[in-house]
Amino acid sequence: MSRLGKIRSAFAGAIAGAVVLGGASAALAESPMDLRVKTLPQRELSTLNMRSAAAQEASVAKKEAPARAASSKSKAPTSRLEYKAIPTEYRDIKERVVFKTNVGYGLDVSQLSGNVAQTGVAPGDVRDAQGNAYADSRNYLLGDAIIGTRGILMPSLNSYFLSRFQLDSGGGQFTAMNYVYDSGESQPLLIRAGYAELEGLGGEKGGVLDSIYLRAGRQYRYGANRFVANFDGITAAYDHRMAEVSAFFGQRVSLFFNDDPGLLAGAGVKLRGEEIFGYPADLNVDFMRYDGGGDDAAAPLFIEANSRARVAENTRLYFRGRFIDNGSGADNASGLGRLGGQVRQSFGDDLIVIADVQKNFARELAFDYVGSSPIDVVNVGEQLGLAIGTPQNSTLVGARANYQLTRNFEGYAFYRNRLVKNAEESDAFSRPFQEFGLAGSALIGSRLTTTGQYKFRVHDLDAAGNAEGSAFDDTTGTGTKQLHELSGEARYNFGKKKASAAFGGYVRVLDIESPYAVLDNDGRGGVRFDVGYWPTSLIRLRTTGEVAQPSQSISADIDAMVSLRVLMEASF
Amino acid sequence: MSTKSRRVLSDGLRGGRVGLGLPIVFVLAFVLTAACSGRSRSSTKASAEAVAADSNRFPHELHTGDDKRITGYKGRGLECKDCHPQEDVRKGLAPFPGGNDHAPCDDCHKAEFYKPPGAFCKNCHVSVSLTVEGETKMQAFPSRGSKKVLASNFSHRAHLDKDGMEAAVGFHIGCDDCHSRDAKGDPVLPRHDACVRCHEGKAKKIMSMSDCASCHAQTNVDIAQGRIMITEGLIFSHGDHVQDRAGASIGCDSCHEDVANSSEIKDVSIPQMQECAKCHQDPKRTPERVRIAQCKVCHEGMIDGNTPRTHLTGSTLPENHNLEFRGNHAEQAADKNANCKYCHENLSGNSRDSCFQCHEVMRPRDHQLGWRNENHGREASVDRDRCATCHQADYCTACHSIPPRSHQPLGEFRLGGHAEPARFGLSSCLACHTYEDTCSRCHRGVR
Repeated sequence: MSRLGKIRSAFAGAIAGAVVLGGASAALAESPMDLRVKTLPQRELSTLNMRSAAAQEASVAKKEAPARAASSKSKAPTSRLEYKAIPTEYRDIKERVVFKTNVGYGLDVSQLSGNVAQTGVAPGDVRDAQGNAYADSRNYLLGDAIIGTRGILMPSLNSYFLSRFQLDSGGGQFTAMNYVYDSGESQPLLIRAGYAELEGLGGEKGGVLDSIYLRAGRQYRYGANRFVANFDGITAAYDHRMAEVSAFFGQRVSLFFNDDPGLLAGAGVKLRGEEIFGYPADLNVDFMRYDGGGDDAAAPLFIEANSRARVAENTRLYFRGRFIDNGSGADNASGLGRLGGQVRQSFGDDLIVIADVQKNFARELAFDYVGSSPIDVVNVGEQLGLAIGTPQNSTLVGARANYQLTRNFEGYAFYRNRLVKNAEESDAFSRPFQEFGLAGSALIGSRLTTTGQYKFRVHDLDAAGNAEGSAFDDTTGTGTKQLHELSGEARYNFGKKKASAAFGGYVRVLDIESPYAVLDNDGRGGVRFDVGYWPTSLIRLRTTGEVAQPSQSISADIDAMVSLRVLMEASF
Repeated sequence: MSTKSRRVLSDGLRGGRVGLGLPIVFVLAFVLTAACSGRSRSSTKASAEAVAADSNRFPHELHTGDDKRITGYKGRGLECKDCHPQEDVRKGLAPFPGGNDHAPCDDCHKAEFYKPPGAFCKNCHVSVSLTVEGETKMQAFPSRGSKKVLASNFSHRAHLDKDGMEAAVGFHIGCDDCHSRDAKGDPVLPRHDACVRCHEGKAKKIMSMSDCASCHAQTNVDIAQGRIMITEGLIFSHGDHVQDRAGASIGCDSCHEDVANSSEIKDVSIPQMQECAKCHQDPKRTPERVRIAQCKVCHEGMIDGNTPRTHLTGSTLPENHNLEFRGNHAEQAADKNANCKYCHENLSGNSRDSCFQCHEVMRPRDHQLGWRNENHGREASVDRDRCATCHQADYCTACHSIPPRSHQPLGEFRLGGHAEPARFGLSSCLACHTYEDTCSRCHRGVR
């Protein structure tokens, strides 16, 4: 093709392009406007019947379809189902943000009676090791703060933060009662939890990525058998509707002694029988290892399991067990820690009966996985710790029944019996006992709720433990022989988030025995009130108070203890 | 594009022969394109100026206001009946205006009907098709949520006032006289034909059907909805609420308590859930399967669980929150479907965390001063698991590592002051001390 021909061809192409574009432009200009209504109007109401969920979903889908099909020039309308990274509407914020805070002032007062204590000393006449005189009052600022978010920035991103604080504004540490905030390394601000989590990593709903769960930060983990771990670390889980598999790792949270809190790691499996084979039964298995912190601390290991099944419409069975290696290195350090079960039977709408049995073994935890040994002395010579009793081979059996006598009155009865295999080898903390109680709750009118409870407990003390010549540290005959406890409360509710007032009280009467003394009918009691008022639905002003009369046999040196707290609670 | 133009273009492309015609075609095409585009733009602009921007709904407020074009219509002003045929209104039919070849709209908006379909059409039509019959569809007069543009003055109180009605029309009426039932037994919203029965008869002198403004005098009234939260479609059938479990009839005022005192349309609200709870918590009136705790009965997409407080009467707790539950609810709270968050506002909603999120901020009621001073040790000795739900061992240690009041002054206490308290309760000593680390330093092994 000649040069002229090339020019001609190019010119013709340019013209053709221009004409095509021009034609298209003209066609666009002449075409009728897009008359599709972007948001279909609600249909006119003709009936008072409400739509079913299916109809509503169809309506929403129909409403959104034209919007999706609309040209890219027109922006789709914002539907209430559309995800927004940052919520801007009040209702949306309220659904995705949890906020609650309590800020207040507390005053505790314990006046001295002028009497000498059992030690033969009156606190008012002496000073403590730091030279402080007895402080009959202590005032402080206190509160807690919670903030949680769901689906902000990303649909699957959640977070939660919980803290508590108590800041002394006066008084001293030589007071009637010890305060946890006075211990060596504790801080006025306690961060109990603070984590972020991803519930799903995207993908198809119910798919693999969507079922992955990740959490990082200060968190709690609840094991299968009343086992609680608080740690700074990570949890990863695959949470499918049929089963959940999870693993976690971190450093234990120690809010009061931070030298070497120790590391922990574990894993768990939850199987949901209802989803797997259509039978309403679950099985949870948890494993955890704790290194104990410190060079010579025990490193306990736990494997816990629980299972529940609905064997009939009104019958549920629970089984639970714990395998433990308490890390002591003793011959019997490994094996079953506890084994138990529960049956829960409903009789119609009104009666529920629960029977419980739990066998505890001597290798069981003394308290939790941190206080796994009976003695948790932190730093002998400088400060003492908790020396709770050695676990014993024992069986706890119990039963409870709740009966809805009328629509506004219910009754509750409970019984427990701890059977100890070698009672003569036990101590004051693990003696056999029987406990029986009755409780009732009545709704008077629609606003006044009253509850009351009576509890009676009798411990089987070993008289031989008090005999002359018995071992000095034998406490099998020491401690509470009988306890009668009567308590009650009345609460008047002026309406949801308007105001409420509660008043309650208790009396405890004890028989106490030791190798050297017998004390019968030693009484102590107290009253308390709690008044709340909501000036708005988001704010509650609250005042609580208590007056407690201590035992005049054991605590003759102080008068009634009084506590008053004034709080402002804001929640959202 | 003309046939001639197409031929010249195709010839040119085929043979590469471009004569003088091409530049002419190019110029023509450009001019035509610009002219078409310009016309279209000006036309659209004109339409937009002629009608309200909010054009998916007929602007009543523009047709009932003080604009001279409205007040001067035919020298008497535009009346409701000009658009809404009175016969249709009286029959209770949907009296859409414009059915007669767009009359009377074209009296004022004649120019708009000569333009291509545009925004103006959307006042009344969902879509417009000039070629396919039946494709030009009317849109329903859309509701605006709770807002009524021309709301009626209707007073339920006046209509349910037996004495007043007897005096005015010689009889009194009940709910069903206006709210007739559909095939499923559900009441329907009355239309104008329900009003006609009286207001074209004995009550005509009080309010005549031909005087629209005497009833529809209010503009932009907000109707209270009475709902706080509906997370799923609500299923409800009036037809299922005729009799209760005991066979007693359920009157309308059982749920719509306030209706008899409602004098304005905005007073009429949908019953709060507490109204439902009065029967749906009462075993004598409702069977278990429709008890208020059964969320699925009303909320199709929800699982069963605890009932929100908004659904309860007065200060009552959810049905399963009995005395036994208050002390033993770990299983329920840890359940994946737990609904604790509905009432306990500080919860995140993740059942993995229900325990600590509540227990870290809410003390058990027995944890009073007396509990701290004298009682917690006795209870810990019979149920350590309960303590360990919230407290780690170092919490206990934190307090127990501080010498208590009784130990002051420490020197005297060590020397002999501890004897009497130890005789009284050696177990108290052994809560912090062991025989080996403390007592054995001075005491022999036996008493």
